[in-house]
Amino acid sequence: MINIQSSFAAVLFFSMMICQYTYAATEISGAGATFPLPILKQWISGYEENHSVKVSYLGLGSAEGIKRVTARTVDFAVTDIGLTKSELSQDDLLQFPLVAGGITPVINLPNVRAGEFKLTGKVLADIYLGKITFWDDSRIQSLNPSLLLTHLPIHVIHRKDGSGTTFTFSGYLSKVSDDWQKSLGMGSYLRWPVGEGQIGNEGIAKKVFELEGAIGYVEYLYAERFKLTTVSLQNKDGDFVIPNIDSFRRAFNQASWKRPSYYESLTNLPGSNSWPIVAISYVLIHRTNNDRLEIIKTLDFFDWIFSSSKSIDGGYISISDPTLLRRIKSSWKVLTDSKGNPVLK
Amino acid sequence: MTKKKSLRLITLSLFTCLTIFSQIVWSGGTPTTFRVSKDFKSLIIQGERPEIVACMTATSRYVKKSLDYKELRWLDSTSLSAIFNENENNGQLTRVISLQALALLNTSNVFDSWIPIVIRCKQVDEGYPEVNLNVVGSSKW
Repeated sequence: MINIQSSFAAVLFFSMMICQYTYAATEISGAGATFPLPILKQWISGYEENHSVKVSYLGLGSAEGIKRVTARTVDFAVTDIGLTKSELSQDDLLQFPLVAGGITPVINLPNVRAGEFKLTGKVLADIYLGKITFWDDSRIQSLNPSLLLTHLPIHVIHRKDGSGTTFTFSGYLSKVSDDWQKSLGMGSYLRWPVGEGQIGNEGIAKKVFELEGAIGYVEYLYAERFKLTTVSLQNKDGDFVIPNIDSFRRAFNQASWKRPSYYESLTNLPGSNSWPIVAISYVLIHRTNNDRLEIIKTLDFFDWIFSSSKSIDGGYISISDPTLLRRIKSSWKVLTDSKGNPVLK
Repeated sequence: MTKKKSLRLITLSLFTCLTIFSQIVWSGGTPTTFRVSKDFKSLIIQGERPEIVACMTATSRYVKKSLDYKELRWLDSTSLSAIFNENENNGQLTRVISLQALALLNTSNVFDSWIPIVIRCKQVDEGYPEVNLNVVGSSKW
């Protein structure tokens, strides 16, 4: 009887060990920005079709992603709040760029079509500061003389979670408005003077879609999916620019990638037809890892993304420069297991 | 133990209790936070704004080494009231971060009082923030 019990216990123990090993080898998890969520979902589904690995990603906002990867509850984070080298070193993290895209203000105004409504950065800042409260304000009307704007209150919609989209959007407003720079600055969370908070890019898109008179800011694909009215925004050179992949690329191409952290600020850049609010999503992974197999699978996922995403849709810009890709992949060689052995040989 | 010794012990205990109680009353109403983490990882995990955490960590280190300040306390409003700005000139990225906090000055007073301070961090490119502390005004106590 004892022998049967012992054998059963041994079988059970080894089954559990095998299950644990299989689970570790076949599932990787990430969390963070909602900005690249639509393209990440496409990539995950494409990767899972060709690999026996399950990738889970929770779009909880960039700040939550950083928090979770720091707490080591996920294998990787994706964040639009780029960290600098000194910050990365304090948290034993490695950072590399994954994808870029444009952030666009979106509005819900009757009889206004996408791209025909013009805004300057300063007027946009004054709307978000609560200094302009009606759509027929003279400063808005003077930018749009051909549009007959009604006396409709402006409903400001912003993020209430720690957001990289907010970080980039407010960074742009800080560069174009002294009032914004002095009173609020740039941040993932802000003490918004007016408006209503929503969670995620999708939360803002939904609210703007539902509420007449609303204004929000989202990653371009969310504007397209919810058929929201985008605006023509004045850039540093004074051009009124329409958001699309070409205008995003004009800003993106100005990135130098010279910093070891790859951190780039792509707001309010000069250049004809250059979109003034472009964000980069970065991947964060720990430099030392307990589970060697899991980190190899994580790197394989990103390697697959880089090799299969030369042309992607939805207004996103892939990282396709061969020199940059070589640098990124070379930086993965610093990753080690808990004993200090390199993960990649 | 003699009666005299017991009395002395009771008096001493009462005095200690009174001192602790007065310290608690002294600090009552000060809008300080119970978030006492000082290192980068802990501050991130407790949910501070990621972009200001390097400045918070550098300030804690600065105060620890400082001869002018004894201790630092973050306010519940520190994170939300922080003002962070960055600019790039000739390829050099400069970040300036302003934070509000409370500090204990390194004085020989019997009763310490927390005074409001403004912290200014300047971070150039990938470097560590340089910290500058300024006392806003004297303590209300």
